Amino acid sequence: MGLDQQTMLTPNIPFEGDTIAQEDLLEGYVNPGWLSSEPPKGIVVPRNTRRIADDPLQLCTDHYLLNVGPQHPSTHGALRVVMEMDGERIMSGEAHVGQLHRGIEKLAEHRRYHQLATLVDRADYVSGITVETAVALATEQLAEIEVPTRAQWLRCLMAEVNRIASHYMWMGPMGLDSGAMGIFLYMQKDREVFLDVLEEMTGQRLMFNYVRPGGVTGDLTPRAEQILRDYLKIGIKRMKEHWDNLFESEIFQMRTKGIGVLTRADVLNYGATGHVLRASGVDFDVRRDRPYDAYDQFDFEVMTRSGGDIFDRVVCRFDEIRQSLRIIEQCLDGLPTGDIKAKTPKVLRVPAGEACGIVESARGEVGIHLYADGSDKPLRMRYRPPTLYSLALAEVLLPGTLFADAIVNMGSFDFCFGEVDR
Amino acid sequence: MKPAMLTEQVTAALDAAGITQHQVSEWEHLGVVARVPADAVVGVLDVLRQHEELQFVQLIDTFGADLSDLIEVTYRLRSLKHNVDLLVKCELPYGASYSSVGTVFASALLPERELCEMFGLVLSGHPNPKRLLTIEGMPPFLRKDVAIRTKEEIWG
Amino acid sequence: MSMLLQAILWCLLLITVMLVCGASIIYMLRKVLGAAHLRIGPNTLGPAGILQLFPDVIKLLTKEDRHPNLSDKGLYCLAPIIVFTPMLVAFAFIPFGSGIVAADVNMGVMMILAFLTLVPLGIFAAGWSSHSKYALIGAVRSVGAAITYEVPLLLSVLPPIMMAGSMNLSDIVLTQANSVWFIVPALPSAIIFFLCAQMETNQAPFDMTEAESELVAGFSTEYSAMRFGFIFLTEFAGNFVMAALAATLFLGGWTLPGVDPHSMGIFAPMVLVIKSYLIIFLFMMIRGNFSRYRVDQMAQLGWKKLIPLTLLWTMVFAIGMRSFQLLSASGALGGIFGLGG
Repeated sequence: MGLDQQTMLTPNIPFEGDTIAQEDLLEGYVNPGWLSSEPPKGIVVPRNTRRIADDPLQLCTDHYLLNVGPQHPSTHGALRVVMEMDGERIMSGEAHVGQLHRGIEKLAEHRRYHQLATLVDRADYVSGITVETAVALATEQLAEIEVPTRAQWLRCLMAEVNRIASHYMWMGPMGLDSGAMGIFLYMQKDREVFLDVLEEMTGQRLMFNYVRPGGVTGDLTPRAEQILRDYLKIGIKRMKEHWDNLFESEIFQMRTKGIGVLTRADVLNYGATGHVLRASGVDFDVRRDRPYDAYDQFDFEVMTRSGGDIFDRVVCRFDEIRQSLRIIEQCLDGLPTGDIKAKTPKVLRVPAGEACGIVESARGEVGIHLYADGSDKPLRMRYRPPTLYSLALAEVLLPGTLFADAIVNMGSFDFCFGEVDR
Repeated sequence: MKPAMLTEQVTAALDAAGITQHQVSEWEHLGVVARVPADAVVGVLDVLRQHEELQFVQLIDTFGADLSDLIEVTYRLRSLKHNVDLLVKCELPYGASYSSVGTVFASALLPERELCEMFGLVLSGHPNPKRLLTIEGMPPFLRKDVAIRTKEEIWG
Repeated sequence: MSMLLQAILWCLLLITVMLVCGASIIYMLRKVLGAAHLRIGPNTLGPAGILQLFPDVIKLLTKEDRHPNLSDKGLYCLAPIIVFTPMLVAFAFIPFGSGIVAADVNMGVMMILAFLTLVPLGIFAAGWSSHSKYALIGAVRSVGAAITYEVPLLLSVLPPIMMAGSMNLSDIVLTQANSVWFIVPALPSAIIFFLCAQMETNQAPFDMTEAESELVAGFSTEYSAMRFGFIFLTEFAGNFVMAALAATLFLGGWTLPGVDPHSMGIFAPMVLVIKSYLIIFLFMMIRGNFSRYRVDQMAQLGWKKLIPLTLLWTMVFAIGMRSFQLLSASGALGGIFGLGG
């Protein structure tokens, strides 16, 4: 590969002879304690724009470019990362996204409000219910629709079911990234239970199209309730098995503890949400802090960890599954009676204005920002993809890590490239 | 924190920082929105981030919208201390130069690239001013004058 | 003439044994891993999917044999043979029964280990010549792993050699038949040998040479058709060689306790195969469930833990064995075991 091609692929890397400011080479470009005491002076230099200091051993090895993805087994979709490597150590890396770009935001401008849910399902194809809820919330704000209480509870119930399915879908391959094959299939077995519930309630296993402005499309069926009740009996026991199998494994701990550490300042600066934020000790969850639907009526905890490494990110989500089970149990016990959808016109025309629906999706905070111009179609729909922001963080963590660690690290953010690329 | 109080405090903070022509008000559905001139955005975000009382420490989202005569860029800021969001909006003409706020909030680095390619803005002051989702030569998709289908595709 | 004929027959027999072992281990892997993963595994072709291997082989044989444009063609074609041959030769030294051994040499243990050392060379040649960075990283990792496990592997076979007083594998087996299985006095050595065998055969959790989630397929990324088939087969034949060696050194080889070794007859090979497959079953259960070591963590395990441990244990064992022999000779213990030849 010629020098020109290298320059084209990795413009971030200064070449020999370029002057790099000394402070750019230092670790910890921002004082981690600035939140509590004094704010930082001057401008924060983004960490991925610099190159890590040279090898202390002075081996004078040649660097080479390694192209990971988009067909690599561990990029979880269509991510391409170009890494500059020194042996097994990554000197710098840049993520290239866009392979799954379908112009969902543009297409939304040509769809009626009822049809938006179908589009965003294709964006986040693992936890569709939560994202549909965000669209419904924004539309309901604009059109001033009152949602029946039962519909709100059903939305919460299905969102939690979907969240657990999504978490298992991620945690298993997370084990696979670190080399453990068994846990992937054990978790798939648990996920099947929740997919069965989703199939029973919505008729679909992937693109649910369940939550609509004004309510939901289907009521809780006895079979779905039975499946969930049965699982609630064994859920904690199953989780204990998974815990013993994956998290208690010494090798898994060796591979994940103390690796890919993100400080509180990092995650705030890079706008991370969801488990990335909470694993670094920031206590924020949209479900508790900006309650939507019926979340203010449930008793659940927001799980946080303080380490900020890969292990904490995985365990943080593992604890979330237990909280989701708690919410499901409360939903099933206290489900109010009534309608499951409000009366809405077939073609919804909303008054001009702007509204934003924020939900805690399985991957983090999803915000759907709708601009309405009085017609039956939105003027603009903005989908805030939580994993796009995590991607920036993953990119920051690349320099200086080993290749094997980088793979596990990228896995720990739970990218969903339908969502990043939209 | 109540919206009225937030409006007051944000106004005071921006006044104290010497930023003129700002307009902070409460919008229906959205909460408090601060309209600022486009060239002052970096300063405004920096002030809000470092404000000791408000502490808008997170830039949650950066996006644009084509309002048919100009491009409106919106930043959603979050203060964890007060558990409140603030929207900062500025307006840019078509094809204008957009200066990056990545030096204040690193979270803007990727969405800015998307914003500029999707609305045909010129990205300046960015460490990696490339396209994010599309390849060179694609039109700025989210502009209203770019149709989903070309004339040939519609009429044959 | 009869010598030549005998040699040719042995060669054919060994190749057959290797193919059958490789094939049956591949089938076993699919079924065992399937059961461990709550899956079914092959179940369509033949009873319980037992014929699945034949279409697999036909597929490998009929695929296009291609090589990357800028690869080192000679080395690229040679590498699978370099990997395959030492494994085949290693089969020759394993005693399958009384007198059923292709090469009954005095240095049997050393010969097997020496030939197995050549395997990383072939892997490195494969990775080096592929002109693929993933293959190259896998190859470099393989060499790094080789220098990690070779030393503890060699040290861990010393206690059986000391007890048998011979490096001839048939002697080692017969000594165990006359006394106890060597796993009883030398359990730590057996465990370390088991670990090193996992490293030697690139099995999870030490499979970083072909770490699927990192290096796609490691050193064999660019291989296709029957060249890949050779590498694939070697991996499983290697499994059998290491398991058979472990069974021979520590589990009494083809003998059974309480049975006269010379009356085993046709059952001797079956006993060895069953013992080996039990060890392979252990390999597979570990392979199915554990995370993978990072290459530097494995090096640390090898150099910082296994080597000092084996050195210490070998010394302790030697002293212990010698004093035991002296005591037995003086009649203090009544010469229960009669170790030491």
